[in-house]
Amino acid sequence: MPPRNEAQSKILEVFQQEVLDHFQQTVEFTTDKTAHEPSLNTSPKLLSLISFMSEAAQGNLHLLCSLQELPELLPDFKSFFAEDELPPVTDPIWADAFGELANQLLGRFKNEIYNYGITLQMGVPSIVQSLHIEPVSSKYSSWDDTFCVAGEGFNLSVYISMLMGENFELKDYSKESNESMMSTGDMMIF
Amino acid sequence: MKALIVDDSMMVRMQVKRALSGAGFDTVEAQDGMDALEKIKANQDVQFVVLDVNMPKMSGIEFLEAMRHELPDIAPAIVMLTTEGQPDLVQRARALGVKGWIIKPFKAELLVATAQKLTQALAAS
Repeated sequence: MPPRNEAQSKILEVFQQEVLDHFQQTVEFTTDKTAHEPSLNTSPKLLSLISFMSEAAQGNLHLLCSLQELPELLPDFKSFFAEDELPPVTDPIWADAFGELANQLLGRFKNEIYNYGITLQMGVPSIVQSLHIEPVSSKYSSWDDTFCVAGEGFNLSVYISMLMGENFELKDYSKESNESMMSTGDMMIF
Repeated sequence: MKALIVDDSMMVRMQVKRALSGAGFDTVEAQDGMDALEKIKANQDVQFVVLDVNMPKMSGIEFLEAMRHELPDIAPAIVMLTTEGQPDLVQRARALGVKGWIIKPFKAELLVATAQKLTQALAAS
C-alpha cells in the first residue's frame, strides 16, 4: 500500500466524519418541521473516492451515486415536495441538488480540516450524468492497490480537484482554542 | 419587503424563497454575482440580500465590491449563506458591509428571524 503521510490520513479521517455528521444533521433539520419522517437507510447510497496524486495532497475527490437513490440522500430537499409532486429523478433539479450536496460536504470538510493547519483549495465541482459511470480503476493507476470498485449502479458523479499548500504544519486541534473558525450551522450577526 | 436571493444552486434558491415568502417577503432570484448585479439595479428597493460566496462568473465577494462601486446609494441588509467559514473571508465580507454570515445547511426559521431582525433595524435607521 502506498504510504500515507499524516496530512493525507487526517484528510481521509476528517472527510469521513464530516460526511456522517452532515447526514445526521440534515435528518435533524428535516425532522424539525416536516410531516413525513425522512430516514437514511444503512445501505450505501453515496460513494466517495479521494485520490492523492502527490505527497502534498494534490488530488481529486469524486462523489458518486445512482439517480434512483439520490432523493434518499437529500431528505431535506425531498421533503420540500408533496409525495405526488416529487420531480422525476431525471429532472435537472436533482443533479443541481447533488452538486449542492457536494458543495456542502466539501465546505464543512474544508472548514474542519483548516483547524488542523491544512488549507485546501478546491476546484469548481463538475457534475457528470450518464447511463453508467465507472469509478477509478486500478488499471489506470501505477499504484498496486488503488481503490477499485465495481462500476455498476452509478450514473451521477461530482468531481472536484483538490490542492493543499506544500508548507503546512499539522497541528492538534481543540475547538475551545479556535473559536474564530465557523462551522456548519453556525450563524454570526455583525 | 423585497429580498434578493443569490445562489448558483436552484435547490438553495427554492429553499430560501419558500422560507422568505412565508414570512411576507417578495423575492427576486439571481444565479450568480453578475446576474445579481443586474437584478439589484432593476430592483433598488431590495431591503434584504441572501448571498452565496462561491459562484461562477462573479463570486459573492466580487458582487459586493461591484455593488458598492456601482450603486453607492443603496444599502440593503446582506447575509452570506455559504459553506465557507474561514475567518479572513468573513472579515473581508464584513468590511464590505455584510451584516451576517450563515453556514449551510441552514434552518429556515433562523434565516427568517435574521431577515426580520435586520430589515427592522434597517427601517429604523
